[in-house]
Amino acid sequence: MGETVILEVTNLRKSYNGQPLLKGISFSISAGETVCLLGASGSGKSTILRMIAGLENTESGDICWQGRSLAGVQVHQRNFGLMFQDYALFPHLDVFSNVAFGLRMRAWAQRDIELRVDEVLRQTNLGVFARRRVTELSGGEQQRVALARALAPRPGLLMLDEPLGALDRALRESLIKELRGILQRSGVPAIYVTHDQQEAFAIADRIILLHEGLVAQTGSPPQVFAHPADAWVAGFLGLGNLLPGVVTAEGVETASGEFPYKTALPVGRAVTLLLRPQAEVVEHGELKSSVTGRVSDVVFRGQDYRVELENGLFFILAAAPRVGQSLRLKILHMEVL
Amino acid sequence: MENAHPQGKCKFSIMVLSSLRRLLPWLAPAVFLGLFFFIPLARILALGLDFSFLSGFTQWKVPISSVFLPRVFNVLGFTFTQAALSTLLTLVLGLPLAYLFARFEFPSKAIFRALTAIPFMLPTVVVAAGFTALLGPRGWINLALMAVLRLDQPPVVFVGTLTAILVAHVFYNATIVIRIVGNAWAGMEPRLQDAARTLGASPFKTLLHITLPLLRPAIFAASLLVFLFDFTSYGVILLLGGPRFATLEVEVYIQALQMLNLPAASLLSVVQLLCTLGFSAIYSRYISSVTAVIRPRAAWQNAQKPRGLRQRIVVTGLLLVLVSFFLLPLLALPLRSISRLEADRASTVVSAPGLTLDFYRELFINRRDSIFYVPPFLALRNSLAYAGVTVCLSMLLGFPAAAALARPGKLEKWLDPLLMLPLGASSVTLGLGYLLTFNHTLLPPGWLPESVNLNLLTSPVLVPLAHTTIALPFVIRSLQAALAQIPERYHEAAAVLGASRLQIWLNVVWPIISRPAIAAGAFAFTISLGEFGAASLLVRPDYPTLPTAIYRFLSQPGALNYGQAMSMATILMLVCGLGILVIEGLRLPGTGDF
Repeated sequence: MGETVILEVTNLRKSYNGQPLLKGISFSISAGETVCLLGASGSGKSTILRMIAGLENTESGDICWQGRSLAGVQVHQRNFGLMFQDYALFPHLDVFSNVAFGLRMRAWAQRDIELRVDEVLRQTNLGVFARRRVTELSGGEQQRVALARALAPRPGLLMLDEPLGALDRALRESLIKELRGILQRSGVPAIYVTHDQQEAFAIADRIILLHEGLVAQTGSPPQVFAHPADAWVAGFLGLGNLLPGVVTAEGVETASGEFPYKTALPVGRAVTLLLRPQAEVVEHGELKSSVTGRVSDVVFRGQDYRVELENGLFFILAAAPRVGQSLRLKILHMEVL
Repeated sequence: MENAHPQGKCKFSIMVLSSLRRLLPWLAPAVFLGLFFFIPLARILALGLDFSFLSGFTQWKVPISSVFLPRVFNVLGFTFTQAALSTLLTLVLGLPLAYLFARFEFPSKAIFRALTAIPFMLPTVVVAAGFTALLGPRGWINLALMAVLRLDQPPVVFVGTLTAILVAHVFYNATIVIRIVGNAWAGMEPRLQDAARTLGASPFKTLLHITLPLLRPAIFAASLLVFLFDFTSYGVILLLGGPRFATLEVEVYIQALQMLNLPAASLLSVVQLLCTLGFSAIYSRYISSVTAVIRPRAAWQNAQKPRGLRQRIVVTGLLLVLVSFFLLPLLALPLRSISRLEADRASTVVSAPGLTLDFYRELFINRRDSIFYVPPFLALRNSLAYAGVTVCLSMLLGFPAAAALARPGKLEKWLDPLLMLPLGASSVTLGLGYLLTFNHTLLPPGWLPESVNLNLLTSPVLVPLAHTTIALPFVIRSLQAALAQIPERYHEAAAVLGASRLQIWLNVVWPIISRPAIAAGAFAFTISLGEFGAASLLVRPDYPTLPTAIYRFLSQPGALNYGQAMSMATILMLVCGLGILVIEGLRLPGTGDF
């Protein structure tokens, strides 16, 4: 991961039809890193990409590339690559000409264009498709052509807007590996927009979580996973059960009972308790750090079972209980948010 | 089956009966089109191509002389030139407006779009009268300039020039470019342009390498269609161009009615027919090869409110051009018809400029006391009567054919192009064909007793028959589309529920198709009311239609004649406007497009 900041986004704001969409977004991208913008659909992720590309103007805030503001720099002069969700391949051009388009616009020599396009097509395993019409390609092939087209002019920054969104799950999992490889080999810094956390965890060096027009949390996937910044992050990532509660002298008091937890927070403070789903069935003994309930649903997941209780809490257990059985479960991990 | 009808004879008669039943709906339209389209057409071909033994005119020969042939080439050359120029100018105005409608959202957009479409549906005489009211020697602009600059002569010479022809053609056909190219433009995925921009293409290069190549099929299709309409232009040339300009159509009229040279007129008609068929063939082939590009599958939210000063200036400027070009001629006409702005040179009384209904009162007076000059008001009555007959005839003939076409079998696939053929022949050609066919030479001499008068030319029935022939393909197409949207299951479901054939028709079919059927009727009505080409060849002076009366008054001098032309054109414009409203309000979406 490079340390030099190359893109600096400060206090970006934008509203649509009077509704604020972005309320002051700030983040930075370092050379060579892949950053995921993760958020629910409609959270303004794509709008941020379009603003960085220059396709959308900013209401306020600034975007700086290598220390210089991009305000007033036209889209075609920014040298950024943008891969669209629906690929936006030019239907009147074949695969080769689509990939060569950016090079032709930069007035490269014909020989250099051919060499570079061949190189990129090989990189994306598209060599045999060069003279095919883009309308004849499958979804996965189109996706790779779009990537090749964006990479060909060696952009300073590559932006990918839900690049796997239009594909089915099986294809997505195989392509995500390929995509990560291509991004690492090309060394181009990338911003990857998605609403799918699996995708984000698989591909990102760093994740930026967006919520209600603001950056909710930034960090590497393990950091975010281990220490969610707030209840929304924990809920969005599906990290466990979220219980509203109040800090007591012993721990946290919730509707499902009191849980011992050491915290510096003052007694009486309203907090959210995150119960991670890892749990063990206990027969007798201590009542603390445990919940009870009747099983309402059991789903086999290959290695273990996802068990839902009638009170709405869910846990991961090694062995399957019966539906309707009453369980006492010892919580293995919990945090106050 | 074998048991029910053991005898082969019985089976055979059932087969004959069922095929007869399939043929039955075709009987009336086939006989009608045979009599009133194909025979007249055959007459023209026979006479024009000099098959004198077929033409029945053994005494006439096509004049292949050193005077006539160069004239044909001149006329052909002018027809091409003016059509090409008109098409080019139509693109010059139409493309920016297509861009305006495809890319921008602004208040009253639907109304502005409708405004550009109105001229296309108005009769040529109305459009010609509108431009005369605006730019003619007695038009608003000339009168205003004369008053302001104290001139004796109108300074702007517009009527009688090539400019007038070109401007009127642009006025007529710009909507084709706006519709076809505008739809393609609006349907183009906006991300394609975005993608080009992020790949380093400037706005100009994006237009050049992405937008225009993607629009090329639509632009080409629209241009072909506009060219076809300009090539067959008749009323505009005759009314606005004056005697100096003749397209093929106008020359047919001149040869037939002024030179009384029917063989020459026929030859010109054949040339015109071949050209039209050629262009139509190119157009249909091209359209079928590029439909996917011209008709986008998804509708994108491409139109946005103008942002920034530059876009606002562009949108405002284009709207100003649109309004002044499309609205002024349409407004000038009715306003001119109720304004007294100059003294009638025939009368010595100088009345003050002001509003007047005199021109409308004059419509009921026969100033000339001649048997050939009936009060102009009668022209309106004739036109309405002809239009009524046209509606009844075309609906009666069209319904059975449309019903059969809605569930096409082998027979229908074969007959369909024949039914649509009248679309390819111009109304002037049709008029000429009637002149050649429905006179006393319809049958060889001696076949009928002297007392039977077969010369239909002396009766007023030919005009509504011609109008029915022109309207029938449109009516059949509209009704067919309406009937085709009723699935067979509806009939079956109603029958199972106990409805008789008549009850099904009254309670299921009619309620579903009533609106498009009324729209089809209104269409036939509007076509008949404004039709000028065939009428100019066929009407008798004592049975004028509104368009021929307007033409007659426009081509005569005098403020009173001018005012009467204005008032009649205004009436025609209002009635046709009403028809257009009915059609647009009731027709099926998608039918009636180009």
